[in-house]
Amino acid sequence: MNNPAIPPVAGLDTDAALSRLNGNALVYLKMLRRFLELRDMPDQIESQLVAGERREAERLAHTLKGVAAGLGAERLRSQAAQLEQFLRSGTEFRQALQETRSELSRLIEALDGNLPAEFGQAASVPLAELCSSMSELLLNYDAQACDLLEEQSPGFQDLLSESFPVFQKLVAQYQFEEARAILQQAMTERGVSSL
Amino acid sequence: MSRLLVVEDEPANIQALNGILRPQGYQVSVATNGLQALKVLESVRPELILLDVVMPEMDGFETCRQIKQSSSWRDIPLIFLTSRADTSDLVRGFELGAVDYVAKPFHAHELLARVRTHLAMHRLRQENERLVRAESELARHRSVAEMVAGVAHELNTPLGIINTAAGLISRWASQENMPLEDLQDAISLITRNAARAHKLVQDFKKVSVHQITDVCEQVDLAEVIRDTVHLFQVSVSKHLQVEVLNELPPEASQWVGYAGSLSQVLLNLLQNARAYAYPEGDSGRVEVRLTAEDGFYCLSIRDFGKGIAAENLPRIFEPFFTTGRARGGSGLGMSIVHTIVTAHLQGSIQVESSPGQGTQIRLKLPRSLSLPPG
Repeated sequence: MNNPAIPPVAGLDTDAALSRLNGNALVYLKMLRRFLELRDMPDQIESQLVAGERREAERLAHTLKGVAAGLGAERLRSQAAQLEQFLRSGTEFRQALQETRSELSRLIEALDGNLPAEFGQAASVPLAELCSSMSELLLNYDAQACDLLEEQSPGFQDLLSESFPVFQKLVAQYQFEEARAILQQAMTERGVSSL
Repeated sequence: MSRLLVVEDEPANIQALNGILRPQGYQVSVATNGLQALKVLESVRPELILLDVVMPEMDGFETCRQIKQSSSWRDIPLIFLTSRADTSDLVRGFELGAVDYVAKPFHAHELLARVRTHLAMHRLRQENERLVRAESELARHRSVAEMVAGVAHELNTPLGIINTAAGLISRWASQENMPLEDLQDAISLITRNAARAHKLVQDFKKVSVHQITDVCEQVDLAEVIRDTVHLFQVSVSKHLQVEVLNELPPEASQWVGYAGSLSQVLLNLLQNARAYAYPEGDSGRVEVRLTAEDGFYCLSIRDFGKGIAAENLPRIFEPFFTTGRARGGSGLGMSIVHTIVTAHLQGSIQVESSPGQGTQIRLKLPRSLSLPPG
């Protein structure tokens, strides 16, 4: 089931992951893109430990383990599992952390820049309609908001100008209420009324 | 298109879930932590919630607890998402009211199958509740209709007597010497029977208004019971001797509840006694006793008739279970009684019986119903 869009990477069992997703390569690619955001995870774990927050560090390792499992990154999964275990039992974890860190960076380096672009240019939509759709999605905390933003990125960039990066980050992190406030603000400034 | 709420802190997992659910036509709302989930629920009503266990600050269990505390959200089916295979975790999830759990990493088929199943079950449950409510209301209206004929028949007697006495007075008034004693007799006949007719109409009015409107209000429980029994005797069954024993001091039986539903339950139980305890139409006795215990009223309906066979006793509240199908029994009466008493009146119901010795049904009702806000 080799999908041409997905770069083959050692340590990433794409077939297993795809079969769990009913062969949905688009979703797998989305997950891979999100995975790239976790590159700082080992640093975060480290700083939690320095701050004495062992439970929190353990939770982060647990999360990393889960994401790795979902992607079919078995080596990373077992290292993160080991790290989580050591953190929980108070055993010496430094080596496990180091191994996790190096496997994670290896995977990210292999994927970064090699993933196909998510959306082609979609037909542009009138501004008022765009705002109305986005507003509605944000109001319902609907995950489609992320997709709409990606698809119609030029339109939103145009509308939001300097606020665009902030808006984009908020939507990517599902902070929909704050994102909506920014959208409303821009709509008012541009004189776009909601449909 | 059903809307689902996904509560999950890790974006990669949200993507996976959305990617599996969206193509099936579900609309997916997202919260990334417990607090945000509660916020989302204030404006969005999902048909099902998928809830991650391991989340920062407020974990899935605590979030579940808070969701279940709200009367508006507690009925939404909730499925835990967990990569912890710990059995004690799963048990805890179920104890908190979750209907299922899904293991991570997600298998699309498994996730979808579970979501579909629970959505279907939830809809069936809601439909069932609606049907029981509709059935209850119908039964209450039917009771009123049945009573009308009986009441009308009963009124004939006192009104007939009043008519006769009035006729006599009219004749005597045109006579030379009016027999004073006879006159006094006639007048007292009229007075007594007018009062009797008046009481009958009043009782009927009270009970039928409760039956039709069934609102939650403060009433005198002893009075509701007495009026219902009176109407039952008068309109439905004279063969059955129903004795009301109120062991509470006067004025000590104030109750806040649905009088119409209570009347309905009582009528149902009395009718069952007539049909099943004393089936051959022979006369029999039923004792209706009102007592109190802690913060509850205890209402016991006891007959000394046929009794219920031991193998049938555990089944009497089962929908459609009846030994009287040949006589047209639907088997729904007791199951509706059970639902009304436990869900609507927030009480409990117990049955004791032995063949040949009779049956006793005990209802326990809170003194005052606690209604959800708004």
